[in-house]
Amino acid sequence: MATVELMGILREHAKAGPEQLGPAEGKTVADVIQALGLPADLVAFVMVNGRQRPKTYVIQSEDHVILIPLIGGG
Amino acid sequence: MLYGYGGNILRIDLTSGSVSTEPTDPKIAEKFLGGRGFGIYFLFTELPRGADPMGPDNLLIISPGPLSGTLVPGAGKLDITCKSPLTGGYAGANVGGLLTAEIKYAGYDSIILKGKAPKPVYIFVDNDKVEIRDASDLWGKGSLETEKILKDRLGEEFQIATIGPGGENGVKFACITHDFGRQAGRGGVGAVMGSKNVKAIAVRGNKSIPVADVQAFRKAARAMYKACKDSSGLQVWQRYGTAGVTTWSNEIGAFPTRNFSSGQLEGYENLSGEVMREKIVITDKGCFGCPSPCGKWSHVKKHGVRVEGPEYESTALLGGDCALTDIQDVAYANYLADDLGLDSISAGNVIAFAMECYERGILTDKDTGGIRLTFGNAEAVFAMLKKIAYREGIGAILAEGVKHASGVFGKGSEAFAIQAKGMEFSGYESHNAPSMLLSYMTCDVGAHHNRSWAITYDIQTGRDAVTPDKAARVIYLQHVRPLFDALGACRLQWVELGLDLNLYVPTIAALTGLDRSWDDLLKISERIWNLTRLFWFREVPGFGRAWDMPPARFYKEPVVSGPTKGKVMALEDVERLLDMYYEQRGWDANGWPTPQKLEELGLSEFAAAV
Repeated sequence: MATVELMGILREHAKAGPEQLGPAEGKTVADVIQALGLPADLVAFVMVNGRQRPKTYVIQSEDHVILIPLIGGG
Repeated sequence: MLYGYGGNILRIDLTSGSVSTEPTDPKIAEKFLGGRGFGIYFLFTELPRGADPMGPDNLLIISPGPLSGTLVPGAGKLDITCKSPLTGGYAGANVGGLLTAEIKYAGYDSIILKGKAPKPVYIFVDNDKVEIRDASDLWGKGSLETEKILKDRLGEEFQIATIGPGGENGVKFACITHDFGRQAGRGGVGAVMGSKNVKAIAVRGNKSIPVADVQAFRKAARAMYKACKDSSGLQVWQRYGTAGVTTWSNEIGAFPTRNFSSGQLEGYENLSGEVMREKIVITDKGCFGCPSPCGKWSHVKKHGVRVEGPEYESTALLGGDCALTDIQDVAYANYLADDLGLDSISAGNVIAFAMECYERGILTDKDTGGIRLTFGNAEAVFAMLKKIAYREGIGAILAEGVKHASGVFGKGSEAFAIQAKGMEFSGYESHNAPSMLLSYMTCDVGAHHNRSWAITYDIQTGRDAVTPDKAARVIYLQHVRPLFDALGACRLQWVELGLDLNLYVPTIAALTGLDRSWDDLLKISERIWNLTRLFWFREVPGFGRAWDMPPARFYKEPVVSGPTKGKVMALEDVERLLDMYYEQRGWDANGWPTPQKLEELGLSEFAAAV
């Protein structure tokens, strides 16, 4: 089963927890961000199994998705 | 005993060839910390008023900070300050790598160069042994080759900073390069070094840094390392470095594209951190004491070179702003900028500006020497970098920066010369980001993101909103971020890994023996900020509010494509933002610090000199 993890301030901004989402398989990362009630632009990095992916990425079975915000900048 | 410091100021007069040292003044250390604080203190108190930035009177002040070379994570930052030939005001550039620790271990808190050597030289520092050595055989060589030659000649343990042909030829945005790909990039510090006939600086040191309470310091510093290691951000930052930002920047319409006319480049996916990692990156490369090495060492097979990077900023300006979509072309342009000794941010900007002039018919093939200077033409970017470095043809005009070039080209090009105070914008398109635009407008070196990076604040609070809290956020960041440049440490452990700022307080106290709160440290940073402001007023005739305004593109020309298409700020909103900022800073309507503010910061005596 795919899992979704939120980092930093995304936990505060999310209107629902990842555990309330239901299965994430087959959804895009953008769908998941929307379902969590997160402002998409706050999600700077999408890491899937240790690799950066675009928000159009379709989540596969057994994927571990981490959503990471960017606050301080470069 | 001055705990946490090298203990000495090293002065080198290149005209006379004299070398002297003096003890670091504890009162100055307490009031200005070190790094960029020492830089502006010495610049303000010792530079003759109105000195020509390219003349012998200018000073090149090279300063580690109290944290440099210590156990603190990211203790590898060095400040280089001078009067800027690009802007005519204050320049404070920052470089990572290993040099700052070596200078500290040699026993120095600032190295101050003045005068001009009669022939090309390099500075040799081996602890107390300081010599001005002949560099005739190095003059004309690239930055990277020069560093390699000196490493071979002196030994691997010497840490070296060099200039390339850009610095030798007085390109106003020439940089100083160190560790084969780290730059003190902005404001033309390399041009000032070149104007003094100094090709390189080589330093070795093996002394100790005195620590007030060794046990407490070790405990506090280890807690910081542990927090870095435990950070959820470590995996993404270490794998991609700043290049990880490229995808997000495009998604939100903040990627400078075609001379800041858009915030999203078609084909940006080809420049992403993941593509870069897969196609060109060989290994990670970090600075002194770094737990999260963001540098990437890359092999660019298409062009047969190796380069550190490209970092996000180089990708944004040499890539997006010039509309290049092949990561290998961007990496090669980065390599050329490094070896030629040019700031990749300003260089990308001036080329993008020239491309827009060419596409609008303001420049012709006759002006460009036959180069088809169209957006997306990688060969044209490579050719222009060389023309700029050697001041050939149109390169001689572009070498003066985009503000000067727009004055020469005319025909309305001033509106899309993307600069503030004469310095080209770094990598965030800010039509629809008031906090970020204000950050660029009010940055104390010109339009640079390092002092305040506020675009996520715009996202959190509404990108169209023009409210007092945005000015407050910019001011807060302008005190926190540059504080790291005074301390001589990297801010990215805080910025990227979320390291708690409160962890710095006991660490700094144990190091220096001075019990200061975070607010006390921020007050020092505010003092430094206001002193740089006074320097601008002293050195730039007529300086004031107009110097804090952005080019008209940001309030007259809507974004042409991407997620922010159609967005533009109203001029009155830009003015309103600036009013809020001045008021909250305690400055008057022309941006002068009020007497009360100067009194509060202990700067009244400095103001008397303006």
